[in-house]
Amino acid sequence: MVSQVKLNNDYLNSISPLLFDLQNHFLQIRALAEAKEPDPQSIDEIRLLSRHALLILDYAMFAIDAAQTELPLTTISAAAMAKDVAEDLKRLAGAYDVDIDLDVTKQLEPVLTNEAAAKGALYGLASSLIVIPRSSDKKIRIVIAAQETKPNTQRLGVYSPDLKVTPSAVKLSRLLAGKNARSVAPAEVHHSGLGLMVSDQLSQALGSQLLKFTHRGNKGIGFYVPMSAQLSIL
Amino acid sequence: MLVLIIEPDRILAKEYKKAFEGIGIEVVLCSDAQSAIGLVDHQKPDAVIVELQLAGHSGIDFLYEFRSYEDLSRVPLFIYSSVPEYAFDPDKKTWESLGVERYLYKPKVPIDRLVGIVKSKIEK
Repeated sequence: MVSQVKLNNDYLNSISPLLFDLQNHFLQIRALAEAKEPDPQSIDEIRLLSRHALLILDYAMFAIDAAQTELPLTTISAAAMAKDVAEDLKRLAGAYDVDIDLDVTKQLEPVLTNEAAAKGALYGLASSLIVIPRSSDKKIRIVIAAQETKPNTQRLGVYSPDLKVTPSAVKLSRLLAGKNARSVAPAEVHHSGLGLMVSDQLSQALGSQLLKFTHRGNKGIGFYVPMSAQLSIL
Repeated sequence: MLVLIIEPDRILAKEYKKAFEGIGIEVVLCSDAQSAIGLVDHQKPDAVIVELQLAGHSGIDFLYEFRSYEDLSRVPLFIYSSVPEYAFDPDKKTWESLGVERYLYKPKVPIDRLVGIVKSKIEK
């Protein structure tokens, strides 16, 4: 009797944005490595892109696991997470001519959440906005923000006065994940689908979801991180 | 000699420019179809390299628009894409009708080969 290995089609479709994005990082790394006269700056860029590709891949694998397990919660500062993500992405942003600013409400209470999932969701979101193709060569600015917007709830998000940040990119990413092909996808999905997919999955694993918001007049995408009732009393 | 490259990824675009300029071919970069169409109104390139996955209008939209201009109908066009050709036009009829010189799949064609292919076409 011949046994057949049947791959789960949904699973394969769900990882297609991951493959698109990783392909692009490999192409970038190859292009830099194969340059006729690689300069120290190219070597530095190879390191930077490899590090980012590995980190986003790590978050993607974590997102797949997080969908199937209950995540352990710890007490953590949303402001510190926002700061860490901004710091992690500073050099990648520089390579794409993007300035990252941090905007954190002072004296935010700690939140009870899964640190890796919350950080991964924010990292995926912010990195996807950094690498998203733009129609202008102008330097742009993105703002990573942590704030308390309603009682017992804080919000982590990424905003920009220069990018038209809309949920359409998220919708496109979901659409692509549900599609069975390497069809002609808009460049936004092709280059930043993985970050959006990671952010989408991890925010859901936290019992939240990606939503569009406006922050200081700038449009953006973010997610709520609920505080525990006990912590808010303290 | 002038080559127009339409590539949405900034890091790749920078490397393509470096490679062509290294052999004395001038390059003008555009990250989307709209700005590329605006550019060819003023500057006629000797060859065009286009990625199909662009923000806004796709590379295919660009190809149709570009070929609709009489004076640009003979400019060699190359597709250099991260999507393989079989994904959407297995019989190659669209590319033929648009006068696409070669469909080059990025993962299989390194930059120096792209440069060689385009250079030899321009020199002909």
